[in-house]
Amino acid sequence: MSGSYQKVRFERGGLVAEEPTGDSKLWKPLRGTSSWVTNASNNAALGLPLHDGNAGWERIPLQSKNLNPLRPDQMRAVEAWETTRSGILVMPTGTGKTEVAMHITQRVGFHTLFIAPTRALSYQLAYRLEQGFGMRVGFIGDNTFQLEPISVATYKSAALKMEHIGSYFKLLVFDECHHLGGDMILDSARMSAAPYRLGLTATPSRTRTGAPSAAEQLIGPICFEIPISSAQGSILARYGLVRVPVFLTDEEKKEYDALGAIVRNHMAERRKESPDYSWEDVARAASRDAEARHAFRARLKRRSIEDHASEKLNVIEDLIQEHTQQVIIFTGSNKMARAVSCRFLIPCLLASTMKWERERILAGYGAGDFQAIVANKILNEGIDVPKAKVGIVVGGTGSPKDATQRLGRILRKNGEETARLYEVVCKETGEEQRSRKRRQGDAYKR
Amino acid sequence: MLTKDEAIFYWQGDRIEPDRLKTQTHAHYPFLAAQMLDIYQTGAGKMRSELWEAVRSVFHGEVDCPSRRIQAFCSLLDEKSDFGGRGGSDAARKRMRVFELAAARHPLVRVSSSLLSHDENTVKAEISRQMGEAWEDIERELFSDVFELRRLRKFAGYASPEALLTRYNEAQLQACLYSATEVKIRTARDYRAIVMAAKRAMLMHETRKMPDGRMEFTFYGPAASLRVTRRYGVDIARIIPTLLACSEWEMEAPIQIRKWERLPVLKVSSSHRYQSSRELQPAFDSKLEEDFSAAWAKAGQHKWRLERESDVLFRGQKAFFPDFTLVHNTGRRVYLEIAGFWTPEYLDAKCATLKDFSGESILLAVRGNAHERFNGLGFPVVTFRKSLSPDALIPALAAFEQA
Repeated sequence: MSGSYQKVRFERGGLVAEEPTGDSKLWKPLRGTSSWVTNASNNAALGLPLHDGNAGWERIPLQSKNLNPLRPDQMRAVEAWETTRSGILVMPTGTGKTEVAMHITQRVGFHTLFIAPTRALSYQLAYRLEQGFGMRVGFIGDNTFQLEPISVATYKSAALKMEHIGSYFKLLVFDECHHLGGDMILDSARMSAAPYRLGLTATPSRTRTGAPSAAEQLIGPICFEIPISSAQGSILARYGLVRVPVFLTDEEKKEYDALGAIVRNHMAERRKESPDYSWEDVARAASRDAEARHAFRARLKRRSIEDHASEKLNVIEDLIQEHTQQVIIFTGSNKMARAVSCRFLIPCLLASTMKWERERILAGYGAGDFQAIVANKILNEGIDVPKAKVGIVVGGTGSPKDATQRLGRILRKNGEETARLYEVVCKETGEEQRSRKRRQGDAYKR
Repeated sequence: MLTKDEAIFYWQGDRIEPDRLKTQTHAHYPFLAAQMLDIYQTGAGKMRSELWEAVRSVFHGEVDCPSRRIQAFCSLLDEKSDFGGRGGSDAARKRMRVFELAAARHPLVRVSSSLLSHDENTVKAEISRQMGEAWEDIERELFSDVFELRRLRKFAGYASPEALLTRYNEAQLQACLYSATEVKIRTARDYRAIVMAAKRAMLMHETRKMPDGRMEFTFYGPAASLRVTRRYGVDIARIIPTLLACSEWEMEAPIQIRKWERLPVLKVSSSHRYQSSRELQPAFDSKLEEDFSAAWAKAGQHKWRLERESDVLFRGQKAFFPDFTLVHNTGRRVYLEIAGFWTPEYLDAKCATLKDFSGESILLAVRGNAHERFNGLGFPVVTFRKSLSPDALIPALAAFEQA
């Protein structure tokens, strides 16, 4: 049987053969040649024409002594995955997804690639894997290409490089796998021949029709799920939510209202001619017509006034004086994050923050050297912030997914203390509405 | 190159066209371009966000100007600018020091409500003293590594306002191709340059000789057999500056903006008079070939003339592009193929190609001991070590003369 497989080879993200093997419907003629080609991800479905003997994947002895022992629910997740070795685990933030993935990696014991949404998360993952397995971990992304038996990549770099490394890994771990979507990003899964696939997410994407999502098609079905409500209290800390309204200063209010008038006048003017004229139309027209552009800018400026309202800095000042615990502040923009950082001289994490700086900030925060840090949206997902018990959200978007992730950040169980989340919102502005939307997510229901 | 978010195109029915600034319709653009160049030429020391704001103000009140166009100009100006490398380490180290000094005095407040808090201004003054720098200077540098806050060091510039507009048009044509699924190029000349550019972009190609004698190349990415994909659009776009520098060509590319069944097509030809931002480079594959060409020119007195822009050989659908053509006084043509750096896969591929062209007057020059691989093909093989000297070819060429 293996004789007929010998001619199958991995080539730039596909499997190429002189003759189709297995299900012939999966093969297509390779342009300009007499050969046949199929997506490398079909390797398992075709009965592994690329297997331990002819693929680049190799056994790696991994010890488990540096790994934390699993709780019973984590163990059930591992066992659920092992029945098919291709599937998605749905676990809320803070329930130890990464621990589960590391145990699975250790039990599989072959070349493994971890894929994470952002550089920040990839670096953190690489760090944890190095600690856990006591070995050098490769990194692909951020202008780096270091391939090791265990490597970490961002989704984008994985998609770009998979055509060259797709036969090297036997196990792919998709962290925050709801990010697997979009023609290009899908190549990170499609161009790999790995038969074992693990997806991890707190917020799985569901299709409207109930059909399998792209992630389910390329990784496998959801095989284990715990809802956030059952995690809270047992695994996550209890939390309290406090809303702090702030008002614009007179000067800010004046400018805010003036900008509002520009927007309203523009809308009124245009609606005389076309009554359906909407915000989408303004955005579209902004590219062509100077007036719409003016209105569009005015709206952006209004948002920015909300975001940077000086009263917010005063509220932050009050809150960090009130709490002796460590505080983490979330902002809606890089600019506000820097403003907070400059005002209180506390470290600031942005998407662009370099690896060593990020590590030093998080290590310093973990050790208690820094009482407070400020971050833009990047900390929404999966970045571990040890010991944070007080969160302050200033500005941000109205997406419930963000809110879930933010709560997960500060709700890590740590003794019996109650975690607290403050939301600082401008009164009488559009921000109030966004805050309400944010509170509709599952995480805010009590 | 521009980002996807800076691309502007218009489509009508089956056709798609990138944004293009023309002398007739955009007569005042050289004037705007001159202002933009001036902003950057006098902008050393300014932050990127300030420069961009200034560029935006050049377009203030400009009607019929998409904001993407303005952003594209900012990018093209940045393309020729030096904002310092990612050398943000200095700024990052500095701010880490500041935060560490401040950590012991946390929290910094203006109105104290707790015994544990510290006055903001006092702490900042203390830190400034400890670091031996005025606080204003520290604050100014604190985030100087952030993209929009980086300061312009040097602007290499464009030769003229018109050169900036030329580059704009070229860049928009490239950006339109980012969503291309493949590209067809038909040409009567300059194939070598085009094929070389495609090779550098790691594209695959098919070649066809057309009834009118022109050649048609189809360039696409390796995944093209499996699905319609724009994955290689950016690679396809890379061949544009070369193509625009060529003459007498036509290009056709289906563009996938949405998942439509029939994709709109971008059609451009040399008659559109696009200009390239680049000169057509002599199409050498490597330094080795360049050196050989120079050595041949220096040696001079041979009976054979060396041609760079070489012939293309056809066997059915397959085409072979030898590195050079040697033309004898009598008109006899011998093709020279040089294998300098090689890997086993490369040699296999080369042997497979050459096998299809047995019987042609091909002379192989092979570095090192790889010549054994080529022995069975029936072509004369010359080996060399470091560089290929013209003299080494003479005996083999003499054999062709007598044949």
